[in-house]
Amino acid sequence: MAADDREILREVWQGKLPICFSLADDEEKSSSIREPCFLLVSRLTYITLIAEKILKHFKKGEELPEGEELWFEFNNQPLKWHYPVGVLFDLLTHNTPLPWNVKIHFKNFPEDELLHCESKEVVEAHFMSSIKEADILKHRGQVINNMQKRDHKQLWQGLQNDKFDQFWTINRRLMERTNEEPFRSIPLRIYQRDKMYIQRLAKPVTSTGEPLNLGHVLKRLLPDLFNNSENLNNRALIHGVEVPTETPVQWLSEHLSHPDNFLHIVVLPREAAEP
Amino acid sequence: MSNSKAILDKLEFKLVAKEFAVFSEKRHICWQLVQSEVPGLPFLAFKQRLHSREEKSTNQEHSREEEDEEDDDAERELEDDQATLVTERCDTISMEYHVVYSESYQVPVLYFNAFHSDGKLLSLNEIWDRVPSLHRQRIEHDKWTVITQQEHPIFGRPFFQLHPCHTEDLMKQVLPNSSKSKSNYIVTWLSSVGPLVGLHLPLVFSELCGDG
Repeated sequence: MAADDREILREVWQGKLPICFSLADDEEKSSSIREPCFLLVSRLTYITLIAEKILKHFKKGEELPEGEELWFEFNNQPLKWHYPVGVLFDLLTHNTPLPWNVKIHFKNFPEDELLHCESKEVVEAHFMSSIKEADILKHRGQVINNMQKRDHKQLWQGLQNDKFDQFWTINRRLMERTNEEPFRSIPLRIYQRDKMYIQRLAKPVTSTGEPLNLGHVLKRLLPDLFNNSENLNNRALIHGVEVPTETPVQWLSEHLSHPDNFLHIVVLPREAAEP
Repeated sequence: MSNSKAILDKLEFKLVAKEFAVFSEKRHICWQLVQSEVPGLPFLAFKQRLHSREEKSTNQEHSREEEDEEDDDAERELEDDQATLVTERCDTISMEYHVVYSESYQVPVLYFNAFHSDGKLLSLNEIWDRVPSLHRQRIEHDKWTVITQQEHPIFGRPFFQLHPCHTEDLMKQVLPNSSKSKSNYIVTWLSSVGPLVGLHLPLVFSELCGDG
């Protein structure tokens, strides 16, 4: 990988969002601290991983009573903790000024909308499951299945501890091409507001070996939105950045994937996306 | 169609799902093939009601530590401070099952939800408690990765899922070797994994399998 390209990996890793967490209005005042909590949160993490800090601040570190579970909300929408924080931000905030104001709830967990997340192990299982699925798509699972259990653990710990080197020592194997061949299929998910994300098979090259770019993928998976070559009406964001649609998807997969090895692409109508 | 392949492509899935649904309708078993918003990706749906296996009564003679000896499964002890209470819990669990094709794993995946009679969703622990003990031992070490809560790939709502990463290996073992014997992938697969989560295919489905 070229040195410039390696720099991009580090830049992506360092992406952070200033978030102001405050108690939702309908939360009981007496048992919780009311002052908001400001945190700089990695774009790449899962929001429930900061639960400890939240509980320490709002509940003085006390355990939640039976039947209560921490959940987050923005604009009356429960936040899906299993999406990376950066994806939630890009998808939901459409140019509200920073810091991002997120509400904390302990009661009335909306279980028709949110997955339960009672422990870090749930987040770990979800993270590792995505990594495995991504490797199935890229390498038929051969790289992940040939790793030791401790290598899997190292990926998780690298993410948890925000340690770029710890993570990438192992992850670079998942980003390698086998026998100089591009990935079999590119792990990607396309998010739009008020819709379930789209995940489909996406080859990085044509049948004749020509590289396919982001524009090709968007045109195929969202033909109604990307039917003209100028893409005037919608834009695609990765890590909050509008990526040029001529960028080859193989390159995007190798450099702009999240730690779970998926490209998370947020598609927004252009008027909503611009300042 | 290749009968002994452990994975299915999209078209093969559509064909076996159709065969399964048509057979099901003829026998008045309520599996339905549902066309989803996603073109070319139908899924199979089934509902049933189960009586709770946690049906358990304690009376004043038994101490609250005592396990029900007639039952092989290790039941969870009821935390019951009042020894005078008759704790006969009859709960009807409503189950909903979806068989959805996974393009990543190239196998069908079983999604399901389970609700108490008061409408409350079962917890992962409660789901796990209902896995028959003979299956539980086999997957105990992988417990938290075999059954997980996921976002349903079509509806985006929380559903439980039987993780698809073991399906290909399972099917390599249970699909018939001989290309002469006919089989329906979904029948073979569901009859193996369904019992983990309370789903038992009626015996009549075996008509879709067997030596041709």
